[in-house]
Amino acid sequence: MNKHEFTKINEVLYHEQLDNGLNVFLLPKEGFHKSYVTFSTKLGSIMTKILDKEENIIDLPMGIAHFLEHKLFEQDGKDISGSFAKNQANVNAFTQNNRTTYLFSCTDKLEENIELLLNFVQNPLFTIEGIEKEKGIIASEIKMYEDDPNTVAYMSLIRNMFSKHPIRNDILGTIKTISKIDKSILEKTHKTYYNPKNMVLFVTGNFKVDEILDFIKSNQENVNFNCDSKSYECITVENETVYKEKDEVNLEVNVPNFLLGVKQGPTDYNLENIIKKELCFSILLDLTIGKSTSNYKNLLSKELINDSFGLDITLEKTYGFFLIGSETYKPKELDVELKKILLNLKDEKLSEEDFLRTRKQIVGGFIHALNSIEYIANQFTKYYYLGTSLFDILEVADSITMEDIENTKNAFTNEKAYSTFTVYPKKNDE
Amino acid sequence: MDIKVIHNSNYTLNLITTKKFKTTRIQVNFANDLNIDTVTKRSILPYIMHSVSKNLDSREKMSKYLENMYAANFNVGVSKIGKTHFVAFELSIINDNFTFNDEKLFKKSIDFLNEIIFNPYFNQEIFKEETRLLKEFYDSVYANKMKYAIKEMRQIMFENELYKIDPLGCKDDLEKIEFNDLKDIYNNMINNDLVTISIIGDIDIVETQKMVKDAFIFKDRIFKPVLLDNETKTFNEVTQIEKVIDVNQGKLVIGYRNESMYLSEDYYKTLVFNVLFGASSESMLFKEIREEKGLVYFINSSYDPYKGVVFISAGIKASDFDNVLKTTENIISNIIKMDYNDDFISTAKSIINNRLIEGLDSNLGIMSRVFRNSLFDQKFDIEEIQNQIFKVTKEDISNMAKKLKLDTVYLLRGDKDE
Repeated sequence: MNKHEFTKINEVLYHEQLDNGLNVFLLPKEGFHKSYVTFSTKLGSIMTKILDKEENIIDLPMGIAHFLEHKLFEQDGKDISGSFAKNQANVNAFTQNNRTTYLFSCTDKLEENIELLLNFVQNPLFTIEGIEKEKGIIASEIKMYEDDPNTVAYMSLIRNMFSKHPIRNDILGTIKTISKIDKSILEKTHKTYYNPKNMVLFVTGNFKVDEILDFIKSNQENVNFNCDSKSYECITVENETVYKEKDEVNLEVNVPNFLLGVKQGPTDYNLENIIKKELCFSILLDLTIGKSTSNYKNLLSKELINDSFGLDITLEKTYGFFLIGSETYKPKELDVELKKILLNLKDEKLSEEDFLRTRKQIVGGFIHALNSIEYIANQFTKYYYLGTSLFDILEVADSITMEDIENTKNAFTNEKAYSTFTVYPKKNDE
Repeated sequence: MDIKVIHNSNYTLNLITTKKFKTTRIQVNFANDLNIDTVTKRSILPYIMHSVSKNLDSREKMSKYLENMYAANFNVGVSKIGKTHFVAFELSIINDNFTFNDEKLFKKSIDFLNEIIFNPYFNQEIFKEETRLLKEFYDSVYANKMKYAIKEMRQIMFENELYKIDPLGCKDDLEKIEFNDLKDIYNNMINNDLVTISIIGDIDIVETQKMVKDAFIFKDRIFKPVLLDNETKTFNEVTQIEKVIDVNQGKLVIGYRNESMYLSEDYYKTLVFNVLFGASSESMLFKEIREEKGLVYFINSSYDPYKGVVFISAGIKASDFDNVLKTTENIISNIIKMDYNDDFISTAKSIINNRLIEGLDSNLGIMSRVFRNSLFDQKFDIEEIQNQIFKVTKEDISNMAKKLKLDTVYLLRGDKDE
């Protein structure tokens, strides 16, 4: 077992890789009543294929990662969540582009709940009837998102930025693609992608490290996935030119919803120091369009943005992009202004004083976030899969120079990397 | 954890000392009658005070100041409990030991809140801007069809009752507010509202008490908030409303009256009933309508103990409307007949217990509970709540189900639904 002490932030992390390949991380939190545990695998919506034993590529139906996430909860026709609830635990799961996470929080019986979690995720007991019923439930989930303008704008913009990368796929799939899902493809996908070697277990809360680790070890002693098929990592990489630069739709909204995306090219997918890259982008955007800037003030006083204004940075192994958006009654003017700001970033003079202030912001934001054991477990796992550590954030932030920020400006210079999407209200023509 | 509640003649001070969190949270809360004439003015006021003050007289200055305080989270908000409207100012800062040079952030944040509350800067530009932002917020609710359906349904179910008032106010009244109204509404809040100051973190009780006393000079006051809203109506028929717009998924909202009020004899029984009925993914509504019948992705119930009402909300196919309604009726009738597995009861109790204890790991959770306790003059006693929950029987739950009186059924549906 490896022990890492982070004295600056008062945290201690323990790590061990078990014999079956499972990576276990333990972060004890004294004084907490609650424990929070995540169990994650690298199966997300962008994993679309399997290599069988003859090395043939088999296509997976779109939405399978999410379907599998729903269906693992069914153990021989019975939903496992009731067993957690009886144990003072609350179980849940979510599927993202790059991973699937199963989790619970509990205030009692940590060991029993860990056992429940490991067992249901590693031992599927699908029924044909349950699989068919799930199709109706997921269809209802799909319809719910079709009515959500934020989701519509987000997914449409991604499809307009990327022409072939599987990030285009809906995490939920479509009603048509999920109709093709059956027991055998679920079992095959599970066997391939839920191999303990691919998985991370993160335990945080109030417990004794040795006891919990021993317990997990004995549970996993005989768990080995023998599987002839292999996971197939997506290697599609696109250049930074977007597929479609502008698009719109009419939905039942009052206020139009505008979203601008800036796609990143292949050189930026390099994973070395991904935290540093994220921080540089975040600092640059803070300095140029953050709440204390004159750009922000101008957008507000020209009535182009409101409190829904937000920024998002996504940097992953094979794709990356930035999003800026707001609900606005003046989407066309906002489009012009935002592009003006971002394309002219190169000429914007950054002040040393403002730069130093962003360092305080990073410390403050990170310390605030550390109150949440959910944040720690989820973000740690995300960065672990990207080959880096969440707890290095403050050290990395210290190492960032003005020059790094200046260099980051290059990410915004190519107009071909820009794409916009607007949700307009329906026209009242009846 | 140590909790100290000090009732002064001008404000109540809740001090919670704990070393568990890496941050400290301070809240200043104002309470006065919920009232249609003042609610919208009281909603815009804190947003203006949040934007600028006399010494931080532009948005940039305000933002920079907070960023320099290690990204202090400064938020304002409005809410209601029963017939009382609340305006809250809240600041969260990191503990001094995480700053670069052991800066005195806590002292600085008390001074900052003093500046915000006692040195407001009212100017036309900010007033106009915040009015636009609030208006656009009202307008944007329509984009979230579930929220919109719930809002519409409440306007109908509580047409002639105070409960219809949204604590954030409404668009028609917002347009009528004039710049000159701000001073009056501010003075009224500062001089007449019930004031509660709550602080949670690694603080020194004596020192903090003195700091607060020096910073927050309020006049004496006597204001007794009405925290329970007993207003109801007599009716014989269920109100049924259907509204058609262009959506893919229908939204169903059902409203019941049960007149089970907070801290009454029926309160804890209703809490257990509600979790067993619909307020969790182990509830009967969820199990039966989602998992058995596969009709919905989400369905849940909620209980407002300050009014004595229960709501169900769900995303459904309009063609399943009768089926969902019928199944809901059957579930209620089975609860009344006590015709269900006892596991539902032990699970519901375990869920409530789990949520109670989880709340103790959040400084916001603890502060909210201590604040509510101070309003209702209750002690912070988790064990007592656990005992009360534990005592609830199957008969109690049956009696709580009997108290449900169906009032309004609202369906927002698409025009092309099969």
